[in-house]
Amino acid sequence: MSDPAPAIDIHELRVDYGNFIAVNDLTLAVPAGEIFGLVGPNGAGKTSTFRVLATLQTPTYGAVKLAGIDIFEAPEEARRIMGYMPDLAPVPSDMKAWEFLDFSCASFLGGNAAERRARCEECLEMVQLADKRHAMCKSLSRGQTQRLVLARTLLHRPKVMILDEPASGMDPLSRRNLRMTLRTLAAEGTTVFVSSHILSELAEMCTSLCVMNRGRLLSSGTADEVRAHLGRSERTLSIGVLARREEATEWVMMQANVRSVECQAERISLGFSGSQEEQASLLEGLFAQGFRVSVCEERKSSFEDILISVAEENL
Amino acid sequence: MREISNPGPAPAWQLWRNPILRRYCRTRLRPRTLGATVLITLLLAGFTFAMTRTIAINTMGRSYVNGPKGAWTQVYNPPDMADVERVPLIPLLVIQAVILFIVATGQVAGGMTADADEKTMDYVRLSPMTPLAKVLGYLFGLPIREWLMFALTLPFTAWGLWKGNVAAGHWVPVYAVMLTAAVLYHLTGLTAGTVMKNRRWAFLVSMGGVFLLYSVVPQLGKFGLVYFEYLTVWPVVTENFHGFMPVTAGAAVKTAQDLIGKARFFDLDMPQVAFTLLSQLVLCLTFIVMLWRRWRRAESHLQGKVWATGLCAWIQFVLLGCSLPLISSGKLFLSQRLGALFSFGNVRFGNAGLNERPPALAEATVTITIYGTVTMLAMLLLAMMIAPERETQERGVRRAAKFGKRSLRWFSDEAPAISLVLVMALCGTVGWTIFARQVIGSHWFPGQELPGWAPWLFGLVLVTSGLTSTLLYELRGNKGLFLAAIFIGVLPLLVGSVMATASHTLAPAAVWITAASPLVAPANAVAIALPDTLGDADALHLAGPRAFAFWQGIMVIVTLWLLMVHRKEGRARKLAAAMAPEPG
Repeated sequence: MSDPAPAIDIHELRVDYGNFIAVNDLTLAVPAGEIFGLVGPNGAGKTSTFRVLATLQTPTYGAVKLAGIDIFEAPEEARRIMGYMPDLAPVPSDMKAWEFLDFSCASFLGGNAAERRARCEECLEMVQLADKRHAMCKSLSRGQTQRLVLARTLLHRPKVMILDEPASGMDPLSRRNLRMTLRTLAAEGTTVFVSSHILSELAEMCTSLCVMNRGRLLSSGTADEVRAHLGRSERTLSIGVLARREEATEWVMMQANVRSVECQAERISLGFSGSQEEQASLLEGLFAQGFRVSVCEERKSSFEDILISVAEENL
Repeated sequence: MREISNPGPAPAWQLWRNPILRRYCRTRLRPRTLGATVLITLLLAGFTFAMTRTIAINTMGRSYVNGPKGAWTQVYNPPDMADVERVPLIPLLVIQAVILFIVATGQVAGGMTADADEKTMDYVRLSPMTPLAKVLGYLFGLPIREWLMFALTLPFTAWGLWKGNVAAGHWVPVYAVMLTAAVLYHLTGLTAGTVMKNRRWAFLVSMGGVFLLYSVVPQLGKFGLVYFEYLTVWPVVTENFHGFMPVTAGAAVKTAQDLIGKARFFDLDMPQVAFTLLSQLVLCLTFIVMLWRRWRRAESHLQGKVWATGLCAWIQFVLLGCSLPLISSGKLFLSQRLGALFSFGNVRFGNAGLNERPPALAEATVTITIYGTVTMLAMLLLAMMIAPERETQERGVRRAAKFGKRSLRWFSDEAPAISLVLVMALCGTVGWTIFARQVIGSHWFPGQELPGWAPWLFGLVLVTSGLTSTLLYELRGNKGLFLAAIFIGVLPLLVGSVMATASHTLAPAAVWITAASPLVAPANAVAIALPDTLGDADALHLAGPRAFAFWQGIMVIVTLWLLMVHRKEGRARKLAAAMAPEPG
């Protein structure tokens, strides 16, 4: 049975650095078992939000509950049920991989050495790092370090995982494994709050996501809902016209819902934000004007496009 | 996935289960590096033990007798072996002190900053261990190798104590105080490591802090502030020194110790060791509270407002408690202590006779000035720990406005510290006045009396310096205060000193310039309250009071102006927070 209370409940969260507002009255609720992506350009307030959720930073004001626990009232209790993986996750230079995990395991779970060892082994295997258990942390590659810290985050089976750029530095195989691990955890009821710059991957992995910019939440929901909400239903149409291409370009520019028209070698490329009906009408108009249309290709805006346009709008 | 048991992290008191301690036991006691440490320690301790013992055997039994025909003949009688076995004890104590106080303290500060440097401290912050467990883990974990080095020297000490028949009444207090002092020094290093961002600076600051707090500040004991001596192992070590020495030499040292005397806290006749432990534990507790606050919330001030104010009052209480009982015997004054130390009955050394005449009024003035200066510096240090920077205040006001509150809780970190600095200044004024009145009103200075207006003068000095610094910090932050400290606090003092030494005719100008520094204000206030001290120094007679009055007047105007600016900014901040647009 799913818990009716949201796994992550953020209410009017604000983080200031002097006069700079890093997070501006952010309100957000993430249901349990979701893989929730946080998208935004640099300086959007992602890391500040994550650090507040991880109890590492005190906000100016706001309320945050993780699985119903108020993180400011009971930070120690919140830490028991939460796992945080920072951006460019650091590791101690004087410890071996297994020592790092055992240290973390003891500080979260306590318990006896045998239990801890078994749990550490399990987590090392989950991230395919079992053969590096006796390696010094500082000798691991960037990707291996990320995997080791992910294993550390998994140690105490957190109900809420907060992962800041977990895939950075990982090779494609490790990324695929990360995706699979997160999906398995989500299926078991763990809520994953994740940010990544590899947006296509995020869109593929997340059940829902939100977009932040300049500390404000711009939109949240499924990938399509976010796309629609941000008004980025725009797609690029590439129309092949066999003759009178310049004339056709001029005609297309006059039509509704059309912007950024470009006449290329054999095609006309245009941004179109109308509905499918309006798109069909546009093509019918071309035929009616006597232009010979050979092909029409449609390409939807990617999340990269959305993020770039969001960032550019706020420059 | 298999189920996992989750009993949670061990409680703070179960130190042996502390994950941070265990971490350092693993990393700092790796066999590869440990071998060299063990070898070096054993070599050093063993060499010291063997060398001093051998020298003792060969020299202690040797004596010269007046033989036939008046020639001196060297004879050798086997010495008392108990005396011989005691000889290595003090060199070993020195080695142990170096290991625990210097090497381990540096390691604690450096190790703490290394964690911050590598950004792995966040992992410890993220663990559900209590802040106290984290403090204890670092406190005993970081210097674990040095504790082992200390332990390796103990068999040699144990041999000396056993074979030398050293009474437990001597070595137990010394080692008890040594251990608490080590913890105190490590806590100092831990605090420096937590506060400083840069690893190299943390090491330097911690070593400087330890040197200042436990080597320089205790020297104030020579000028009447004997409390500071109790932050070191020195009072207990000197009291029990003779027990560690061969019997004859020990007896001589004991006589000297008895002559110097010891602190009698408000005449309670408390044992030295008990008072030292109490003093060190209070300071340990203060450091633990600082670290606890930082582990609980990384942005916290080192001290809470209530704790800092209480600490300020406690400092006055212990300073007075240790100093006042020494006035009547004259042991408060350096001249009397030195005089007593250098006169053993008929045997008289260079400074003998100093105690045969009463201390000069100038000595009392210096003592009272030092008391006032220390009071002022302690107040400023505590004020800086509780004063919020502008950014912190803004955050607090925004939070208060969000929750519909008109003002901040007065004891919260974000609230201005002005009112509590006034309370601290009041505590300082009371303590300083009591001290000055008791010293001047004592039988050593007949006819002298502290004027009734002196407390107002002392209060003015403390209030203006305390408020100006706090207001500057709250309005302009670290940078503003630093610049003010350099250009107003230190520079006039340096320029004035150079001028005063350059030419006698420049003395009045030098007095005017140095008086601009608030650091000189306590000295000037005491000089004005006790004008007889100045003697025939005309320049000081004429220029001192006028310069003091002028600069204090300026300080009052600056303080009032800063208060107005502070108030105005506070109002603007509240207004801006209240008018902030609703989200959405």
